[in-house]
Amino acid sequence: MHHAPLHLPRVLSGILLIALATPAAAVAEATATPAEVPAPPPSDELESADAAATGSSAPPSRRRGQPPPEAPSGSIEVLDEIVVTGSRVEVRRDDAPVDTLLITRREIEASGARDVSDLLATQPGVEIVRDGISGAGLRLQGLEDEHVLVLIDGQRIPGRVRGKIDLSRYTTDNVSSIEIVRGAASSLYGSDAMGGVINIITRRRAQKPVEGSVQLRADTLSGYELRANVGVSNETSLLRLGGGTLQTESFRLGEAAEETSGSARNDLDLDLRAEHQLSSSLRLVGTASFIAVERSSVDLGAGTAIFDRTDRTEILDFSLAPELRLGEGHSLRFTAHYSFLDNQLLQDQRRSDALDQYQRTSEDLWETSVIHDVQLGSHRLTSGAEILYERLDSPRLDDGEGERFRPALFVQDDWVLAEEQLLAVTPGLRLDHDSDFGNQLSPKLSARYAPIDSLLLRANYGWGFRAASFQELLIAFDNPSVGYRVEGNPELEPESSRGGSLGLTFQPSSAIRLDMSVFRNDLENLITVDTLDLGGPGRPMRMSYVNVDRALTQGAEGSIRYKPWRILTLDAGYTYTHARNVTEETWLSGRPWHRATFGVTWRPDEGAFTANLRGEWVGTRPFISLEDGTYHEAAPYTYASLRVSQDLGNNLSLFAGGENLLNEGDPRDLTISPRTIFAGIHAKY
Amino acid sequence: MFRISTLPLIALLLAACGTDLEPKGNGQKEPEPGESRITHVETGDGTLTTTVDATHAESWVFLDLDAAREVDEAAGTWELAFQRMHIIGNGASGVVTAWVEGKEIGAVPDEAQFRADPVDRDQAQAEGVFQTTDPDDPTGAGAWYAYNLGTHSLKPRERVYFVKSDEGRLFALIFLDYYDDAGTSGYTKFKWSEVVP
Repeated sequence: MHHAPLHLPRVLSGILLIALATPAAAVAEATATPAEVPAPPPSDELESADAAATGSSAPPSRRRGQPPPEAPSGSIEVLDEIVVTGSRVEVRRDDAPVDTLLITRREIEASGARDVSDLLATQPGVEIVRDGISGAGLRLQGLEDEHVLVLIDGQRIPGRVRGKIDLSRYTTDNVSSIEIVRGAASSLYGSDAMGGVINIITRRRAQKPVEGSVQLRADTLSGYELRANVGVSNETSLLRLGGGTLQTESFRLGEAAEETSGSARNDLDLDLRAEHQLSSSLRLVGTASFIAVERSSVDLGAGTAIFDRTDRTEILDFSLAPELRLGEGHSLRFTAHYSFLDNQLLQDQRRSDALDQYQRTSEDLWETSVIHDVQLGSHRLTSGAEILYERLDSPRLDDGEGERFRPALFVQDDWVLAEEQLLAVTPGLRLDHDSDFGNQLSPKLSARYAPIDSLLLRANYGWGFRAASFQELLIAFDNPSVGYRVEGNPELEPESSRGGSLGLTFQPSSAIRLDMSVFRNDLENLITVDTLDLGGPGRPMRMSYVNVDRALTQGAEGSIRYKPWRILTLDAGYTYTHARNVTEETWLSGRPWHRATFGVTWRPDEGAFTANLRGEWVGTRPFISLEDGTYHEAAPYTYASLRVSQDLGNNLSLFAGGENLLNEGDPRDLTISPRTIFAGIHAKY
Repeated sequence: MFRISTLPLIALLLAACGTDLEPKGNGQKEPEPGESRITHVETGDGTLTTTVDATHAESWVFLDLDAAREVDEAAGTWELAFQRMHIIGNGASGVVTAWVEGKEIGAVPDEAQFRADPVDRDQAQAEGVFQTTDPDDPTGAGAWYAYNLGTHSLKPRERVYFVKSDEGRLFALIFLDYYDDAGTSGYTKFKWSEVVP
């Protein structure tokens, strides 16, 4: 019997959740004056931060507690920047316990990046790993996708495939900023945050009572995209709705006749955000979103079998977050969050049904949390409790289902020892109790110190862990068409890491900013795929997951931003990574030893023409074959993108550009879309 | 404003009714009970090209070369039996087999060493003339196919097999494929004809 991919009760219960937060009536009735309403969170729409004031070449003060000086429009805007990921509460970027890489809305718009993976690809210290079939994941500090926690507005998102959250699902249209914390963050977030955290912050604050935009884009891969969003707001309430659809063709690299290197895509997304200030102390935020991503490709099986493969993922997501301000520097925030993921995978053999495969997987994720934040003298004390419930139903699992329940408690004390030098230490501790593997303790200690105004030093050390996924524990997946079988291992231990970093930020003038750091992570019980049996005629190759004893990633990162004139920004970054499987004495597959990023942005404040050239050079990458253990090195490549736009007046602009300008890619080691030229039109109100 | 706020909810509700990908099939029929799993085509050079549907992982398909048709095992008149990539000769009925390297069907060369497969089926799978390396086989070249570890696929070796039937007739076979036109494994295809001893 066929059934709708997303069950109606789930949709209705979610709608009930969001309806509680929908400010429709409240917006209509709103009469409160701005004076009665606390300032909305300043983390959003950072374009406002650099819209004012005239230039000054002196480095602005970092002193805590002072109102942030106005950043000159030509300067590197750092002082007003508010981040949340490194502390779970809003703080100025310089006051954050850990260094937080921040990509603002202004930078997102200047980049022209279509989706989050495009945007992150040229960030220093962030390595996007593209795969033409399953999308784009990322590495931080040499650690793979599964060791990086991906959040949207601070909430986990479901749908890891082989550990990867496909970041190309998320368009930049609705993104206000992205925050990246590198290094273990399990003391705040628990499982998965071993290599770091990516937090995608969606747009919220409106600039005008009624605003909206429409964008149409087409490219030479026969792709097109239509996006639109509208926001309505008054002093107390906001309602924002956005959505879009994207279609692209598949592509082939090398000499493949039938087999595709990259999937065709057919995506749809809708999102809704509602906020309402119920009183001067209580603010209610609700969100709902729906994403459908369909990828179609042609795969070859053993022999001459050809398969049309379709992989369709739909994610429905609701959250409700009341925030209570109990006084100056004292708040309580509740969050209830539910995600439902439905995945269908069809492998349809051409000219036959013999090897057809169809699998349907669903995943429920419930998260509730409460976070208490209070300033007590020189201590900013943040504490919280979380409950996570996760359930996976899949024919690929041994018993058809997996369940996990994980309550947690955490506390962090940001203790400022010397206000003038911004000398502070931040101890933090989190206790998770997982229904599969029991208790897990994650401590962390961070410190920061600004000996002079232009220099900020940071150090941190923490523990991280990752609970084995349902797939790793329970999978029983046969792929007879290709001839392998993957078996879960219920004996797996959680992976753990201990690591730290030392870093500095040097900003001698408002025109230049330099960030440098060194890092090291020691990993134990790293889970990798191991071949149990190479297979033979009539006997599939058997693979399973095992804990390897130890691995190590260490390296150095540096980036510089220089604004010689206020309309021109130059960026450059470099990362060295040394990632070893210490037990096997081999390199960890796929990590480049050297990687460099670059960016040039021409963007006059009132200019009619803007341009952005950005890219990355990725050095030689070592690969070790899972099948026979053979070693090879993939050649370096350069991925560069260019985007220009011209303002036509009347709120209309035209844009054009190219991605993968050097037409890099090969079918074995780098399955990325070939050079693509795009153009489009953008209208806003 | 209220109307505006309800629209997104309706849109989400509609969007939730997604596409169902469950396979529709290519219009193929399951074989009827009793329907032969062996088909022949005239090759045009005096040989027959035969395809055996040996896709079932447990049941065997029995071929009587003398009658050129599938028979029941109980009849005992079969020469060769097929299951997936396994092929055995009917040693119990006096069938003997041999192979030589080559691509053309012709007379039996002197070096061909005929022998009977073991009566025990498991033993025949392990040690038979068509199967993996036979300790008595001087070439040690293994089964009628070569297995590619990288692609997990089977390819027939360039060999001519000779089968002496229970009626004393001699047949020569050359294996052509292990996959049907759609690439499904278990469809053993060979051309064959009777040859003069």
